[in-house]
Parts: sequence; structure tokens; C-alpha cells
Amino acid sequence: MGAPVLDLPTGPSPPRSPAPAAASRFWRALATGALGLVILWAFGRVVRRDVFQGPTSGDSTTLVVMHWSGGAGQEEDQIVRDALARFERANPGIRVERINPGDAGSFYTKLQTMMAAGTPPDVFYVGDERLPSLARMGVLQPIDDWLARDAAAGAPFDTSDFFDVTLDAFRYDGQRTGAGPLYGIPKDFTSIGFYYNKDLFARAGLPEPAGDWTWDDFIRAARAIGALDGCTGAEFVTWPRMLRLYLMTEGLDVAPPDFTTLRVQEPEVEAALQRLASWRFDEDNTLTSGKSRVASGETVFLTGKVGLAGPFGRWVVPSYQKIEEFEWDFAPMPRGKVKTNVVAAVAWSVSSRTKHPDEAWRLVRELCSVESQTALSRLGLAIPPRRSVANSDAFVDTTTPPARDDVFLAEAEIAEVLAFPPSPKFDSLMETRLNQAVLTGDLSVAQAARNFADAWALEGTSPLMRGEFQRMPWGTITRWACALLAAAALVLGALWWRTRPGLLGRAEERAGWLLASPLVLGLALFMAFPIGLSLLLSFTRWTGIAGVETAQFVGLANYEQLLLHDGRFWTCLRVTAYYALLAVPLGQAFALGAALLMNSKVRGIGFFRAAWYLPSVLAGVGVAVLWRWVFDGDGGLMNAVLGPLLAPIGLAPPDWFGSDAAVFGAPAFAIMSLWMVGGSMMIYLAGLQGIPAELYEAAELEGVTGFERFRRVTLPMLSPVLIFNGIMAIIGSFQVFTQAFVMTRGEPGDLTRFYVLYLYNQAFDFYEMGYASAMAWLLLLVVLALTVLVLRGSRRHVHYEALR
Amino acid sequence: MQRKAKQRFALALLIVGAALMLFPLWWMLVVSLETPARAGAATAGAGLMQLWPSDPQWHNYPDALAEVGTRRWDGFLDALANSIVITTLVVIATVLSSSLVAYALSRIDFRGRGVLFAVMLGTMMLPPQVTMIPLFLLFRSLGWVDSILPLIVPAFFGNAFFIFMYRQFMAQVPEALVEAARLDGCGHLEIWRRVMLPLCRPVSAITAVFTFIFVWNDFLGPLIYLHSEEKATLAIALNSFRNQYGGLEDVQYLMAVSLVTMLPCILLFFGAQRAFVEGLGKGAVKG
Repeated sequence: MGAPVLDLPTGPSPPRSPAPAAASRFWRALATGALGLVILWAFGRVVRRDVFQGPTSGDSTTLVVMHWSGGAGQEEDQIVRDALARFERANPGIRVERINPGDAGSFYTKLQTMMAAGTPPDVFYVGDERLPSLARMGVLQPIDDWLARDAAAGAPFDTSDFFDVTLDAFRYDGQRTGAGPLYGIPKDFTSIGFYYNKDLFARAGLPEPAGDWTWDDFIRAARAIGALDGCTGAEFVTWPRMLRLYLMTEGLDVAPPDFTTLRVQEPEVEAALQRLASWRFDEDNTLTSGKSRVASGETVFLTGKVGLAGPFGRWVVPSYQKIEEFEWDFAPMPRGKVKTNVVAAVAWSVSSRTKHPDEAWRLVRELCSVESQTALSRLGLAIPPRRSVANSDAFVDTTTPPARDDVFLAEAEIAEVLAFPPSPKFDSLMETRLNQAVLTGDLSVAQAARNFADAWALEGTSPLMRGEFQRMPWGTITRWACALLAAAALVLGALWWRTRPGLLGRAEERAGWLLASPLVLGLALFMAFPIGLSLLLSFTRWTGIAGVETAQFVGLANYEQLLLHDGRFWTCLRVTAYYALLAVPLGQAFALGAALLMNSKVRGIGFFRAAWYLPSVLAGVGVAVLWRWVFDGDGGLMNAVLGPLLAPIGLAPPDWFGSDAAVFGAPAFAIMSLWMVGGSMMIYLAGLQGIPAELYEAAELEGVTGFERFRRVTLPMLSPVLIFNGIMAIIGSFQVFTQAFVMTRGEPGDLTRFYVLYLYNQAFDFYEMGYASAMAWLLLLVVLALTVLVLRGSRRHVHYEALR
Repeated sequence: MQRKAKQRFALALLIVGAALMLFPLWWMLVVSLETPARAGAATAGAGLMQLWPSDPQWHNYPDALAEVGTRRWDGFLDALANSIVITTLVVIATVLSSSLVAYALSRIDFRGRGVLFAVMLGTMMLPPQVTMIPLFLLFRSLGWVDSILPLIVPAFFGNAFFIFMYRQFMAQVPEALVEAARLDGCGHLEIWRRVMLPLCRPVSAITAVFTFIFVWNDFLGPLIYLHSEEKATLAIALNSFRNQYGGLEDVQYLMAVSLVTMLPCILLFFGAQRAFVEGLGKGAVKG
């Protein structure tokens, strides 16, 4: 790449316009003063906190505890804090530091970065679905030895009080869940079932679900309620855990316990899935349509228009307790051939790398004590794993709904341990593949099952599974890297010396490098080093959890897997390319058009510029919530507008993130991006204003006006800016992440899974940091190639005013 | 006559566009002032298109802000103070370092300048995910985790995008101005401080605003580097808040907190937009 190819037509401004009027000066002073005060206040607060109340050091032992507080927020946080305070009082000399990143997703991202850096928290939450992967990586400390030792010392930790199934959920022997060492003490758990709207059951003349109700009873109730005006029978979520539970009630599962092959293509399994799919798609209003992303899951029950919602655990209870419009209760999981249930549980685990194992264990005992569990239980969010607490009035509370707290306990008694495969990719594959048949309905059950089985089989033959790899020889690599760098420096230095300029030039050169030194240092430290390391990592298999010294050298296996064995990679690349193809030209055309408009001399243009730019200033969760609603298939704003427009020509608006996502998913994001073109618009505007007026005057003299003038004067003069913006847009379009992460999580299937989102999944959900590095490097190559292509292709058409 | 019609058309387009662009913000404001039931209905897409709050619930704002973090009010105030401190420092550092480097790249002739510039442009193409984990390992080894240093220190080494912008601008400052300063006995540092920085005020305004917005909204950086809750920024606090109030119930609280989080960006933009837009525009007059 040549250096000064991109040229923004900007230049120095003349001295500022005449002094502003006194009034405006007053307001400006006021605003500046207020801003100064706010900044002073902020610095004061932070400095006072960090300097004067800094960590009280000393020779006390420090334990780090990390947890999340999803649905229960400040209350769960307070309960953990109270338990820690009790612990600190009872154990003088031990200090506990607490980290709460908020929700479970942020928690795991953070846990991984801390573990990768070799400083894991000592005690932390682990969900049962993550247990096999974490235990297999050896980052959790087995607890059995402590249990035995405490029992021998006469201070036993009474595990017999716990529901067996909650303990079994945290045993893992390297092959399957439910056997082997214990890796955590459960802090709470839940059994699974359906929540039902008592009012709707009464209106439809239905009896309330009995303890042993069947799927026939279930669907009869759903049909009866679906027949009521404006009502839907049931919301049936198809999360992997719930879908497997549904199959288990028919004595089936998606895979045998060792997960080597899949059972989804067995006729019985396909039949059970087909039954679910036809309830949803072949009947009106029996199940929710699966179209809506907003009104789905737990919240749809709140509308009072849905008879049954599930299969959910106990976690929805606190929000359902706020319902005032109707009565509701909890029903057990319907039975098929088998009466069964599973649990979802979270435990306190101890890091295998803790420096204070005994203190950490003592802390876990306190966190799982009767007192802590009683407090947690009162939140109503989960079942306490201790029977003594679960059967006390801390859990069985007749004053608040649900009235049938005992159903949770009865279901817990019959619950089995749900075995999870050691590869976290399994759940993700299952969800994306099977949901296409049972949630959005864009594929037949047979097709979706085949896709799932094929993808899992491909995973099994992955080059990364070939067996034992050598440890990455970091020492040798470092030595070689240093030697190479030194050699390069020597050669460069010699060349440098031979072509050195005269004395005056030398002083100038010193000054130049000195002033540019921040950039040089920054590039070396924050760019070259990380890029080099990530290139090396792309040749390894590394979990990103165990220290980087555990990385195994796999050669080109990551790249081989990406290009030959990973269908999802190609899907994601296709989705991203489709998006880029739409968003880049559309966005640039829109931005240029907007800039032309903004360049007109209309009164109040300043306001319009600000208004048009504003959306690109706003970011974050609130905006994502808004857009999710706009594109909702069932009642979204976009379809409310499009519907009447398309009706006369016999078309229905698309189900953007539902069954039409293959065609309309990426375009929805492209439309969203139009709303964010303010930045490009501003740069175009600057470019437009940089075109000398004489050129337009000359054009006018020659009688060139209107579109012709735009084509022959404006466009050529603007071409450097066009290239700059275009390249920035291409780069940006391949880096789409946040919107998809917040809005769709890549669903349905992988149809809105953008490249970087999949990269993030690999790194932080599947623990394949080496693989993610390889993906990042491929992305870099793709973007680089595109950029060079654009620059090459445009060379002849771009007009440079001041190419030095 | 024809010109007038054209102007009207442009004005109409501008108004429609502005309405479209501002609608989401307005919608968020409306939802944030609703009662729980109506806010839930509006976001559930139950056909309720609210354009005006029926009965503004102003208390939603204090109610929601008090619930940010785990300590009433302190959670919000701490997050606000942290965001202000980090953002202020990063903005100042970015403006100073980027303009200094750009000065060297545009006005000082030294061997390797072109290569350095090309390498810098290349780094702009790098997805941040590539460097995330290695950078964390680096800062970890420096012992900077759970401090604001990893968020601030890189800003002192310049930002490629802004260096590029400054460079384009400075390259076009008439040599006569620089020469005059040199004759007055100014060294490079003084020329940068006395001649370039004042002339580059529009670019500095853009740099400051863009940096402010980016740092203010940054989520992944603070999530990874800051552990203790007292050190969390507003973006982090908002995310935790979303998980408590992200459902259909209490969505008005989520909107209220989101709006308060965005407010500084909005204010800043309206305040700076004159310097910003006109700077860009006027600056383009070739010197």
C-alpha cells in the first residue's frame, strides 16, 4: 500500500469568526464552568475512594470470590455479601474480595480472561451445563478430600441433607456426568415444568393440571385455550435442555450418554420432534408461532393471553409474582411414556489454582450453609439444595404464588442428572440445527436432524481430534523471535547508517522519530506484540482457560478445520458477505445523499445535521431493545408499516428474524446500519464543503448543471473521500458484532451469525482460543485483500488534488 | 421559482429524515415515562404505538437510577464518576498524542516516515478481537488489572484514525506560517503547540467528541479489565442493570437508565456540533 493514498480534503481554518455576542459568551462560560465542576467532582470521588480507602493491606490472606446476580439483582448480591461478612467475622485474618460482573454471560467471559491470565478467582459459581468442559480442563478442585477430612475431624459437612441429584450434577469422571469426583457444592437448583394461567383454564372449562398429567392432557388444554378469542395455548421453548427433557419424557434423548453419535435420526426421536413441530405449525394458536423474538420465552406469559408457558424452572417466579391481572400456578412436566424431570443447578466451586485451598473450602461451607441457603431461598428464585431448608417455610410459602411449591420438590425427587457432552459446541449445534424445524419451521424435521447429525459427525473427524499434540515450545519460540528481531534490527541499522543524511538532516530526523515515538512504541506494544502472539496462537489448540503454557502445537490443523470441517464457518462468512454487499453500497449512497442534502443552505441546517447524526452517537442496550421490537415478526413497527403497503400487490411482510431469516435476516441489519451512517455523512459533508466554489462557477459558465454537474465536478472531487469512507465501511461491515450479539445471538439457525460473533462464540463459549485466533487471522486477510482490491481498482478513477 | 421548489423539497426531506432519525429516541423517552403495564405492552409489540406518554411517571428516573449497581445511589454515582474520569483522561491523552505524532508525520521529513504511516493504516483494519487476549496477558503481567490504567495508557500512544485525520489537516497548513514561527526561534514542540494546535481546533473537536463517545460507550474493555464493582463504568453498570430489568416488566427502568447514560453524548453533540460541522466545513477551504 502506498502511503498517502487516502486524502481528506481538509485544511487549516481561517482565524475564528468575530467574537460571539455577550449573551452567547455568558452561556458558554456557564456551560464550561458546569462541566469543570462535574469533572472535578468525579475526580474527587474517585481519588478519595482509591487513594484514601485503598486496599487495607497487611499480612491477611485474601480470597477472591466471583458470582453473578442475574434475575435477583441487588438482593442476591446482598445475600452473598452478608455471607462473606459472616465469614470474615468468624475468620479474622482472612479478607474476601468480591467480583460481580452482573449476568452469567459477562461472568463467564470475565472468568475466562482471569483464568487465562493465571489469576482465577478462588471461589466462583459454575452452572451444571459448563461443568464437564471446566472439569475436563482441570480448572476445578475436587471437593471429596475436604469432605472426607472434615468428617474425620468431627466437623462433617452434611451432604446427605442435599438432594442427591443436585450433587450428582456436579460429579464428572472425564466421560460422563453423575459419577466421579465432586466439583462443587450446589447453591441452588430448580426442577422444570409449565406455568399455567388459572383464569384461562377456568374460562376454557379445563381442570387444573394433575400431578401425573400427560402430553395428551397438555395439548388438549393448549387447544382449548387456543380456541378462546385472542389467546394462544402454550409457549413451548426449545432450548437444548428443555428439548432433551421433552424427549426424555418419551424415553428418548438426542444422543447416547457418551455423545459419540447422535440418535436424532432414529424414527422415534424424529416422530417426537415432528409431533412438537406440527403442534406449532399445523394448528392455529395451539403453540406460539415462534415468529416473535420480543414476545417469547418467559415474558410472553405476562401478557395473560397464553395458557401455558414452559418448560421453565423456578427462576421466573419473582417476576411472575408481580402479576396482578390473573391467577397462575406451576404444573409438573407432562409425562409421555416416562414420568421424569431434570434439574438445572449452580454450584460454588474452588479453583484448582487457588493459593489458599483450605480457606477457600471453609468459605464454600459458609456460602452453602443453612443460613445462606435460607436467605437465598426467600428470593423465590430457586430451590435450596438442602432438604431441610427446602421443606421449611423459607421455601414452601403459602402466602405467595405459586401455591404448589410442593410440585417443585416432588419433581426434584424424580429428577435425573442431565448428561452434558464435554464439548460446549454440542448445545450450540443442537439449538441452531433443530430449532430450524421445531421453532421457526424453515426446515423439515428430517432435514434438520440430518444437518445436526452431519455437523456433529464432522466435528468428530476434526483434525483437532487427531490425538495428542506436543506442548507449544514457547521458550524456543521466544529465543528465535528475539534472535530474528535482533538480526533484522542489525540489518536495518546498517542500511540506515549507509544512507544517513547530512548533519542538519540528522537533527531533523532525530526530532521526527522523537515526536513520532508514541506511535512507534504504541505500535510495538499494543499492536505488533499482540498480533504476533495471536498468530502463534492460531497454530495451537488453547482453551484460553488453563495458562497459555498449556497450549498445544497443532500446526495448520485450525485452518484445516476451518476450511474443510466447519460448515458453520462458511455459513457465517456467507451471512457476513451478504450483509457487506448490501450495507456498504446502500450505506454509502445514503450517506452521500444525506451529505448533499445537508450541504444545502436551509435555515436551521445545524439542527438537521445534529438530528441526522444523533443516532450514530447512541449505542447500547436500549437501542438494541428498540430495534428488536421494530423488526419483530409478529407486531413490530416495520411490519406494521409494510403490511398495508404490500397487501395490495398480494405480498406479506417478511418474518425478519424468523422463518425468512435466510433472505431477510442480514438485510434487516443492513437497514439498521443505514440509521447509523451519521459518521460517514459528516465526512462526506466535509468533503463537499472542501470543493472550491470556483469549480462550480466554471461548470455553470459552461452550462453544466444538475446531475451532470454532480457527475463531472462533485464526484471526481469527492473521490478520495469516497474511497476513504468506502474502505472504512468495508472494514466495519466485517466487524459487526454488538448488534447481533444483543439482538439475535445469531439465530435462527446461524442465519444472523456474523463472522465476529462466531469468532466470539469459539473463543468464549467453546473455549477454542487458538481456533478463534485462526479465524481472526483469516478475517484480517480477507479484509486486507478487499482493501487492496478497492485501492487498485480505484486508482484510475480517483482524483487527488494534493498528492505530494 | 424552480430553485424555490427545490429548496422546499430539500426541506421536506430534511424534516422527514430528522423525524425518522429522532423517532427512536423519542420512543425511548415515551416508554421510560410509562407505567410498567403500558411500557411492557409497548415493547411487546402488542399493537400499542405510543407517541405521547399518557401519564408521565417522572419518578421512574430516580427509582431506576437508585437501583443501578448493588448499593442504592452509590452504584450509579460511582459508575458516573468512573466514566467521567476515564473519558476525560482518554480524551486529553488522545488529542495530545495524536496531534503530536501527526505533526511529525506531516511536517518533519525523516526516513521511514512513509513506512510508519503505511503500517499505521494497516493496523486500522485489525479486528479488535485479534489483540484482546494477548493484550490482557500483557496488562496482567504489568499488574494493571483491576485498575483504570489498561483503559487509559494506550491513549497516550496515539490513535491511528485521529493521527490520520490530523495529518491530512496539518499537511495543508501553509509553510509560510511554520517558517515564520521557526524564524521566531520556535522548535518543533513549540510550533506544534503554538501554531498547529490552535489551527487544528476543529480536528481536535472531532477527535474529542468521537473519542468521548467511543470511550463512554465502550463495554468490552471495562468488562475485562475492571473487577471491583466500585470501579465499574456506566456501560458496565447498564449491562448488569439490563439483566435485572431486561424483561418485559420494568422495561421503563431500562429505558430510563439507557437514556441517562446516553444523555452526555447527546448534550455534548449538540454543544459541539457547531465547532464540529463548521470546523470540518470551513477547514476545507484550501489554505
